[in-house]
Amino acid sequence: MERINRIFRFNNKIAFNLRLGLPILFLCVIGLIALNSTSLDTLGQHSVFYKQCIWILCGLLVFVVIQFLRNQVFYEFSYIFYVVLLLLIGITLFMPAIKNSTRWILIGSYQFQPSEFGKVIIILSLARFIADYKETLSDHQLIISSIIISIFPLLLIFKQPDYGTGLMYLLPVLPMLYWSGVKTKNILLYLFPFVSMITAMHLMSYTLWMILLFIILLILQFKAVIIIFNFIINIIFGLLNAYIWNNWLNEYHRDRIWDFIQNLLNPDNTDHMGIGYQAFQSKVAIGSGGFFGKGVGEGTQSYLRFLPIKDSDFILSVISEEMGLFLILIIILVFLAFLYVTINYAQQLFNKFYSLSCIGFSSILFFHIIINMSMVTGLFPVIGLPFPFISYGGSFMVSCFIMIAIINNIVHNDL
Amino acid sequence: MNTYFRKKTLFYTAVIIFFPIFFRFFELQILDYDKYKKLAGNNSLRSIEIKAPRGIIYDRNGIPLVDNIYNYNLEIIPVDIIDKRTKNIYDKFNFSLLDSILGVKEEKINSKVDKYKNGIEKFHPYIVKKFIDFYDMIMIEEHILDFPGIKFSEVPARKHVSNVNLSHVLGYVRLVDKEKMVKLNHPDSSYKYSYSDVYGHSGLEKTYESLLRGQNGAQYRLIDFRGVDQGIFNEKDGKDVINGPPLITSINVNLQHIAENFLKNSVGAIICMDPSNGEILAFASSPHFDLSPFNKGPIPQEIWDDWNNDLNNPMLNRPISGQYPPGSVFKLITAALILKSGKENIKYECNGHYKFSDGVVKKCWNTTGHGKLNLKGALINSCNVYFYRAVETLSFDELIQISKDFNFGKVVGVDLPSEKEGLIPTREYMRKNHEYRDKNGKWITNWAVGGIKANMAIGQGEVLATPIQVINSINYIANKGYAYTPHLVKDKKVDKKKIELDPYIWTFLDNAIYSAVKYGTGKNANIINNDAIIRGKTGTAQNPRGEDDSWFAGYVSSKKTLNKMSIVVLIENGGSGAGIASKIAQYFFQYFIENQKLNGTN
Repeated sequence: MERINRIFRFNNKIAFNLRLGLPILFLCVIGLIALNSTSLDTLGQHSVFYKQCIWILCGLLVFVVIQFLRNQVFYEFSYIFYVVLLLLIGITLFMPAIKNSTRWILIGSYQFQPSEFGKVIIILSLARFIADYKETLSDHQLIISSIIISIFPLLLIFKQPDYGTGLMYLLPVLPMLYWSGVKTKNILLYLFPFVSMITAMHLMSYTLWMILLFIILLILQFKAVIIIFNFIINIIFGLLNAYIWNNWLNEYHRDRIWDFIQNLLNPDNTDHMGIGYQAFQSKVAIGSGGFFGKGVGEGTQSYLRFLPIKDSDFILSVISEEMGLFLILIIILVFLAFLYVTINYAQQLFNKFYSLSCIGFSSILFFHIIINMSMVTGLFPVIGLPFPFISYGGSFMVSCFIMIAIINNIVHNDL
Repeated sequence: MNTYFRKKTLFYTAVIIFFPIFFRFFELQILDYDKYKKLAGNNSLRSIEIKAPRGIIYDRNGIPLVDNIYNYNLEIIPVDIIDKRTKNIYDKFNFSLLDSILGVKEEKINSKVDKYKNGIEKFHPYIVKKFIDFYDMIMIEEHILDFPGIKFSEVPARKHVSNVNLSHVLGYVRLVDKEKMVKLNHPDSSYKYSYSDVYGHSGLEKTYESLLRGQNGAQYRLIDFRGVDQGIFNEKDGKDVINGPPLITSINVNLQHIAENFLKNSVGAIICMDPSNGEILAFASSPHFDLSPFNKGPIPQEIWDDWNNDLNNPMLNRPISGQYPPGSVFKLITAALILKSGKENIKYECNGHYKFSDGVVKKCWNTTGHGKLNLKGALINSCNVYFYRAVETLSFDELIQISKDFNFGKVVGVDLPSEKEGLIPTREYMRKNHEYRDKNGKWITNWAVGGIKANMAIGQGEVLATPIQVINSINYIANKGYAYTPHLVKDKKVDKKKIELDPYIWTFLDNAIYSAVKYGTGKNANIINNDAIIRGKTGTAQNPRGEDDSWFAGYVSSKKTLNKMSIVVLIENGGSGAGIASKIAQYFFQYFIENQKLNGTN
């Protein structure tokens, strides 16, 4: 009993925060409408729609359960979860591959994707670490340690391979560090090498960037040693680009990225049929939607033949086609409202761990959304990231609900 | 923590990041709306599979045997058949014409449209009638303006274009259905079938399936919102079709025609081969089944039932799957063993019958007796008594061994499915079937002494052989010690199987069957022609079905060109081998000598 009381607290203040919950429910409903219209595929069944309903119910159930957790639990257990996560992702590497990727743990016929739940765990672990050590470590120590925390699972995920999720482990580190009070210019110092790596795709852009970098470093008034050191690091990262390109990425990803660059630079004269087929069809679907869309169930493009993964990663193309720019605008505004609410709560929370968790969760959802939106419109390579609460997918749906549930719990019991 | 400032920055950064993304949507959906609307609303890209034409099958001289045709499925697309204003089927839709040409009733189309007129389903084509032939399709296509929303899809089929039947050689194809799809596309197969592909289900179509099918291609085409094809989107993006290469068989149509004619009114098999390379020139099995119903979609159940209920079993591929007692033809194998043991000069007296040590009396076919005979005389006159007596001095195991050497009791490996092994009894088999308790309760185990082993020596009793095995043994003699695996594809590289026997033995056997045709039981097969040398052995096989089976196996060679052709003729219940089988063989020998080019050696 005592042990149960350590984890659960049944006299928790239970409330469903409408300011948090309404935007989420709105997204879920939009997702269900889109799935209802597309999932009527050649089999003539709504199987995906009903499955999604079940996943949302699962998510809500988990939401309710989490409301009864003693909120210190998130802090106490975050490191333990972190270790379990590493183990689980390790296990997936030995699982049989589905579609050339070993993301799932197969238990009977049920697939379970630990890296999705890892998104919650990594935020909690980072929040705890930053909250604990912000005062004792220097900015650089803090940044490097945080990166190390998220890079362990990331390396394992890269092995699967699942680059989209890997990216999601790394990106939230930025706003969390910023929120904790690390100086912006120190964070930028660690961002530059990645920019160097990307610009190194092209000699011209690389040279320009290097000049620009030098100027920026001077303006930011770093010490001379740091400027030189950072500059060298940037050059090395730029050179690493070729190595990574040749050795880390496989043919498929190289084609995708190359195709993406081609598409971006020269949208009218590219091969729409090969690797870029999907991105092109997505653009056609979105573009043909217009401002008000073609109407629910009338999307001819999203009909099975044209959009291959319309249920999950490309659901937004279906929504754009059938409900138009109008709804995209509403989705963006609704999410911004949600973001505003969570950041506001983060500011009001006195406890640093909870505050950082709020920022972490809202930023990971934010990154999912912007990358997914860029992906479907051809602004970003197709890396397979779902849209939170809208895309079809069990593990991700539940883990998103966990994030919201934790924020809800914290807000009601700690504010 | 100056969190107020940070809160503002974080939030506004997020807002700013959303700006370009929103602008991108704006660009696609508002600025480029017309362009994408055109691409999507009216023109859609669709990947269309192009079926590879199956390889055409030819005879050895390039006369086509099997060609490709198409049948057509009539499909309707609900969204196109419905008038947008009235929400009903277009008034102009000519139901009566459709009914009169294809027998498709108005109600049938109405019910399909009612069922699928809502949601995304209305864009699908739905099949209304299957397997329409080309002429009916053309009649409808001429009036296509009267039929909005209908289209025809092609269903590949095979057409048998020659004047020979060859059903057991060519075989037939079937359409890939759901069940077969799973079976054919098992994880290890490199080739993926799609729906309404065809696959070879029997005969050469099955054996050479991986060759004949070619490889389907793909094309990206622009389809407008009515589903009307607007042409290829981009030439270079498609995948080229790889046509199934032609299959040139070793069959000679003329020879095949003669063989089928001879068998028209009887049950049996004829195979003609070129022993010098193992190519099969004619391959007839009677009765056969008709391949023409296969040209029009799946075969109706009644026809299957007819074939399966026919007592003569037309589905049985007699040359390779029919297992018969080979009769006296098999004496050649026993003779080879007698020669190997060096006992060919021992003479035995034949007075028409022979009494075995176990008291059984067996007769010779000539009940008055042949007198004293050595091996050569016994082969010429096909004397049973000689072999009864000679085999008593031979070992059972050696007899089994030499039969196996001549490829009896196992498949010869012809390139057709479902070849049978025949039967050469082993010791275990004999023990199981011929050890018994006599009326005193005594366990009798001496099957090897009595008539059972003797029966084997003359190709009766336990021994069963397929005609292809018999002709294969003749090929060994014709080549003096080796034979190529019989096959049906011209110029195919096949195994050469050897039997290690003294050259003298081969010459002896060759001479013996020469004399058998010249002076002995095979006289009826002989032809009067200075160029031809005819060799052969008759067989009259007793069988449980009734009248004796008539066998002739032999070969002809030309003195001038040295070309050879071997033949086996089997007429079920045809009586003596010296009769009908020899006479049929004679016709082939004559034909061969007069038309030497039929071997295609030129």
